Amino acid sequence: MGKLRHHAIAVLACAAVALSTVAAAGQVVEIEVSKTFGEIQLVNRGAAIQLSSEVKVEQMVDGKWQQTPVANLYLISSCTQSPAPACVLLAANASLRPVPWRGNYCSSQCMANCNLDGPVPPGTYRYVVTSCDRKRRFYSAAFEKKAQAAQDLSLPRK
Amino acid sequence: MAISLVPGTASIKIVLHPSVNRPALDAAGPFMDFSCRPISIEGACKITGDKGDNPAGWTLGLIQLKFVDTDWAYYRGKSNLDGSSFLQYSRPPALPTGGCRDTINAGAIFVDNNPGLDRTVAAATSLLPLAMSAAFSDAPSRSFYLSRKNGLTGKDNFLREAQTELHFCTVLSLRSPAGIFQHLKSVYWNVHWQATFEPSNFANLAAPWSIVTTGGLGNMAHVSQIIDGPPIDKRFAGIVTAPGTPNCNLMTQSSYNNPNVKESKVWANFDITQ
Repeated sequence: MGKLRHHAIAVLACAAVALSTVAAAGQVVEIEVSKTFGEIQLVNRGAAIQLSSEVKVEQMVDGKWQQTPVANLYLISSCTQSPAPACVLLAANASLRPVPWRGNYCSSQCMANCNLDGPVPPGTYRYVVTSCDRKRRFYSAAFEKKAQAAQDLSLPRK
Repeated sequence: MAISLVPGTASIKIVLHPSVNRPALDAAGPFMDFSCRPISIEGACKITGDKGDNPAGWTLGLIQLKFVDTDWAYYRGKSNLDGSSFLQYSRPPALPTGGCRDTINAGAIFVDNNPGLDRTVAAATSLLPLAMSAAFSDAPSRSFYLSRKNGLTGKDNFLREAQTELHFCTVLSLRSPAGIFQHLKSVYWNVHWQATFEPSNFANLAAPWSIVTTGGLGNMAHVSQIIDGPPIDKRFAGIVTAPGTPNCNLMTQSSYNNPNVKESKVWANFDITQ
């Protein structure tokens, strides 16, 4: 948790050029979705807030949002040996760029220990982040996921 | 005539054979990755019946079981007195004995990582005979920490050797609306990795490591012949559709979070079978 990067508003202003702002009006925490698949940035427009570090993914199916069983996706800014904390603090006016989602079910962010894995199907998705007390939910705007080759599942990294 | 399988129409095809990648440093974090090119499997069959039969609910899908799991890692310090550690992920209590069923959703029976294509569910409007198919891909993976603190010496121990062997059986199965499974075909497949490691710079683990894969069967993937009929292998025949069968991903995640740890104050030899 100590490695979470809280960027200043000035940095956010620059980043916003490349990001499409997608948070619903009135939300305290906005989840901005980059044009680069998997990249998001959380921006806190309100007071400091504790967020559950777990990021949920929902898919639009037959006009309704349904949870997609994506595991191991957290509000962490780097892949470390420490397990993700249960909650992360997002200070007032701070922002956070988690490690991008790879589009997979299991090895979804950092490399994980998976038996069955695979890319989620193409479709319309959104991210959901909740406050640590589970009383508030923050949604990104919808974004599209295109087809992903099976060969992309698990390539050598280095 | 009730709805039934058309004899001789069940098939499993291996569309893409798996192959293991050479163990490699993870670009995103302090891990050594075991990854592979996925296996892709397609199953098919036809069902038929009399005029007026309602095929709604007949489902063709694939069931995957993991029945062998070897997972361990050996760490040792830069010098003998920094000690060594052995982390066993695939023996009780870290990993309970017995197999598991491999699904994304815990408790599911059919493989569920390829929505829309991983099964065919007949509708009341489906015409008989009905061609059914089920397809998915899978690329198991493992990721080992590059270092850990030895509790006996207080020194960092570095990943020195690791081995993973995962053996699966994938079963093509036809389920009736009453929940009766008819296992049609099956195939065994596995992925193996084993290597020794040494950092080139103990103070900078992101620097390149020496990675030496061990010979023989240490690094390979294999797919068996396609087998007719239901699985009779005693190692997993009883858990194919059993409701209480553990979920593989959850079991593995738990075992990696809580491995069996043995430590030594020196560079020790550990029994990897324990």
